[in-house]
Amino acid sequence: MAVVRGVAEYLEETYAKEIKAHHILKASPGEMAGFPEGLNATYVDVLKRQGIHDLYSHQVQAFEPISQNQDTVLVSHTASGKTLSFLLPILNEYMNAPSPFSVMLMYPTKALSRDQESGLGQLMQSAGVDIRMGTFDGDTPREERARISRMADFVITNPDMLHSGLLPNHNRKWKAFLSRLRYIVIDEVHTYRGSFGSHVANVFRRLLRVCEMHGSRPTFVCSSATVGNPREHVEALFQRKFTIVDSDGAPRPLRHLYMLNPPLVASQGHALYRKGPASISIRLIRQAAKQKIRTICFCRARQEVERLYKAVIDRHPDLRHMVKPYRGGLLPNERRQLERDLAQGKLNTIITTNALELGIDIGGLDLCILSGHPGTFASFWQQAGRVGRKGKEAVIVYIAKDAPIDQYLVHHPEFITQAPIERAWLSAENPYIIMQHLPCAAYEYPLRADEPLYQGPAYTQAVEVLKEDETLKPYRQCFRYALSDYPAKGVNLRGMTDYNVDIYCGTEVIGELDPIGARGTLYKDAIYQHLGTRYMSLNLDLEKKLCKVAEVDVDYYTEAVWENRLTMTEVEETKEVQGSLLDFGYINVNKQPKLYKKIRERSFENVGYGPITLDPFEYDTTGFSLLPAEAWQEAMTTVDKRYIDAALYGLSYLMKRVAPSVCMGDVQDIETDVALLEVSDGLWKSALYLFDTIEGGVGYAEKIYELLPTVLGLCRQILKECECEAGCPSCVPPLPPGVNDEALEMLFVESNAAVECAMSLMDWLLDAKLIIPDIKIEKILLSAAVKTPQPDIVAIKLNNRLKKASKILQKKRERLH
Amino acid sequence: MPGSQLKEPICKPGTLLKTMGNLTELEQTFLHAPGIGPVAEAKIKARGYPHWQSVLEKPGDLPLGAKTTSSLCEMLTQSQAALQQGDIQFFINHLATKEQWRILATYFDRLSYFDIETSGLSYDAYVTCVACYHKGKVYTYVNGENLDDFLDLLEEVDLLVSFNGSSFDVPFMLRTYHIPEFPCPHIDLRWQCYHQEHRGGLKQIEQTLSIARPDDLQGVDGAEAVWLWFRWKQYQDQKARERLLRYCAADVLTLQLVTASLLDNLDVSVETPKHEKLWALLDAAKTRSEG
Repeated sequence: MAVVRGVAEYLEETYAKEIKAHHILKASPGEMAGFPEGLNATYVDVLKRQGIHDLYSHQVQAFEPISQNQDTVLVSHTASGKTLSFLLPILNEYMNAPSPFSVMLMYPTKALSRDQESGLGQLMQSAGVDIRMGTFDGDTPREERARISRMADFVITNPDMLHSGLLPNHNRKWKAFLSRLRYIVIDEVHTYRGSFGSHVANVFRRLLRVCEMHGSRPTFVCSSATVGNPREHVEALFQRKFTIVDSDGAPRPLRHLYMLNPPLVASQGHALYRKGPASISIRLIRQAAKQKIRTICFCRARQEVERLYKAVIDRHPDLRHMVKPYRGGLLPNERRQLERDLAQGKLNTIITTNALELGIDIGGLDLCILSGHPGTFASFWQQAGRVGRKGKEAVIVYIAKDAPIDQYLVHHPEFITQAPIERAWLSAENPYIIMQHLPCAAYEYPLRADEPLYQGPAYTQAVEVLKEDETLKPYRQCFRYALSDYPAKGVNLRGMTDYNVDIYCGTEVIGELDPIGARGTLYKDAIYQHLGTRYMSLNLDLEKKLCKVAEVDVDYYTEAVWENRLTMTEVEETKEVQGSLLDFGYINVNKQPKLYKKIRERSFENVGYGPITLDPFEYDTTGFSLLPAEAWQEAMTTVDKRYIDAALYGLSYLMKRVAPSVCMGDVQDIETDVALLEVSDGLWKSALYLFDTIEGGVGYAEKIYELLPTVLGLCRQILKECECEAGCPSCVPPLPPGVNDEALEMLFVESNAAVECAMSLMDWLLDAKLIIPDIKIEKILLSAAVKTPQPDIVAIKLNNRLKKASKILQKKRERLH
Repeated sequence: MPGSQLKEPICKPGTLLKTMGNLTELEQTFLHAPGIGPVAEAKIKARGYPHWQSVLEKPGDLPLGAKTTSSLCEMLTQSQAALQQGDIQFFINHLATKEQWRILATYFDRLSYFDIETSGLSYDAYVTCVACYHKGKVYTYVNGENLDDFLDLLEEVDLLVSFNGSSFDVPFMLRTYHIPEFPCPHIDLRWQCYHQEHRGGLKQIEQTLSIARPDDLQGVDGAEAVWLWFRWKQYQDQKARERLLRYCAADVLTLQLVTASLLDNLDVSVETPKHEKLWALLDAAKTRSEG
């Protein structure tokens, strides 16, 4: 308990100025309850022998509905014994059942499911029941697969495997398992949202359809982390009513939540910027490691994890074995090793992406660092909840980044404790997604004239389209799959691509990345970091799906600059907001990385550019365009025509960062841009575009279109309250990215145009108030910058002379001998 | 197979082959009734009941217990209805394999025969061509050209016959078309031969029954069929394609001759086209791939 105080004290001393808030999250003693009545006496003995004499109240609460085969969702918090919550009633029934039924356990990823297997196995073994259990995923060897499908009662799997491995073989290999399927347990159900969630909803529709054919009616038992609408979410996912259990009887230790904001500094006189979280987290991680305080640090991006790791161990080699990075893109064996070391306590500190946010048992940790806001409050609390061992105080340190929501949190620290948890939602009726799953369903069994699980216009329309292009052909009042390939193979549940680009150094594969990420981070000459080693990309071959890299030693990292071309191909809905035209419809996006910037580590200076020659990446999606009202545009034009574009760029920046929190999408799932819109024949005007980055659209832009006043209100508030004088990356930067018009740039540089114009547009859209922007050229006095160390000329000269002298002396010695 | 949505009884009323005294071979058996084995059947016939109608007219004198009598009568009533409606699947479902030659006999004039060739025996092999003899013509179907048309033809087929089809050809085609079952009933000739003491592959049986193929197709086998396909696919070797289709069609024609020979051994006389006329169909099939 006193151990973690050391970190708290260090924080309070070193970063007094940066600490904006210190919340105390109260401890809770927990609520216990006795064993439920229906629990088999043998099982009670087993639990008692393991030292469990009573259960948490929520575990008991879950027992009844599950035992009665009601579809149930448990809203669970970390370390609340959720596995036992759902296993208890299921195993109890299994013990009492006349013949063994089967259970499917679903985890969102392979990694999670592998981790749970041993834990589950132990729980079941200790229950003394002879249970045949197996994990069925991409890593399961062929012989194992046959054995599991024939004999296992409990099968652990993930949605991708269910989709492409199990369902297509439902009749040949899984008939016995499916015909006695009684429970489907779904862990971390909140992860099934957005586009991924819509896909998974359809996979489960196919599963239920096939179960019905084999004569089973399984019950769903779901476990969800904190989400604003747990019941609504699972009911949308599975299209049935659920019973919800959302109390939490587990005890919680006292936790300290510190909220820090790094200071604003100037670099080389011009741009104002805020120091990154690393300026605080590096020292904090080192200090905690020194005091042997077990730490987890969550970063926002994989390469950020790498850079932070490298910075932490730089000139501290003793930390190399105590601190490690973790992320997707590492090889599977690398990840297993790290997970094991962490769980067993061999590792002190782990720097990670949100890959470790969920489920995997990572042992007891005491300090959690959040490097930037994870994007949603659900993730925030999930990540913060990863620390806190029984009886020991824990410390959570949130360090804000230079982004609007991050900054809002430190300016309104009470907000975090009241912040509404985002709602999760998805659209199982997304026609693009349905159309991908119908061929799979037809492959499994021809689509009948009346499919109980496929009702509604989206289904009928999708079938029509598939009939027309002869993917489906009629066969005796049904529709059969008429192509010769394996439809499940072409459907990727998690996005637009289903393969990885392998990263080779020499002949060895050192990592992997999805093709879109590869376009953005592995182009020729890009810098790629892996477990602390820096590589430069020599060549990216998207056709062969490989990238060759070589080790380098440089002091900069690279960032690609993308060029978007947007075209609204079809307008579906139009509305007017204070005279401004908002069109919602189908947008064609054409993206091309044109060049990259070289950015020096630690000082974030731009030290060069380079070209990128890769094919563009094109897709169709949904989104809307915002054309400001004529009246407002005219008013702006009378002063300075450039104000219009300035406002649009500013608002575009702000909305992109604010909107995702309204619809629980990822910031990567939404894109904004300023592009031309043809208002009338030959007349083009600038408009703001907002669209989904997922092909076909999944309703994010749609949601924002509906809730535009809310989103705009939030943007305005952030802009008003930012402490900067003339804009900053936290609200609207003085020069928003994407501007490539010289005249416009001239307006932006060293003025508050971006802020003022964006504000003017928002005031108009929200209140129809006309406020002419008051542009001021600012010369800002700033605090001391981070100085890159000047090379010490004197020392270098001396060094050279000494080296030369040493060579001369060496030659002399050789001569003498 | 799950889901009976596809399974309306497929009824094809039509002409039946009658032998002894204007009766079909089917009507002369009772073995498909529950509880009736060869011994019981012999007793029934000895008592003077040679066919279904005789039993249904006077069930009282049967040398059987009351329960067996009533279930026999029920089965025979259903059988008569099935025979009238042309529900061939009914007899396939209820008759033991050993007795299914009676179905072949009854519907001999309406039998269709089929055979497939594939790209090999590996797990990713696909069907290369299908040949089908139906109503006096040979139809061939080639992968990538008109394979789906075979499924349309099957809608018109009354009873489909193959050699070893229950283990190979039929499951293969079901997978190819992604359907749970064929639109027509099917009987595997291999097992009919087996029960008549003819063991072995089709070519062996042809030898035993002295059925000769045309000279140019002597010695062609499944392995060559695979080779011929790739010659066609990769090098557009027209001659290889023709030879392949000819070989596939020949398999189908010999099936008819084997069936006829089998039935002949069972004292069922059926009419088959002369060998020369049959083989002539091969040449006809060469010039078009659909009748």
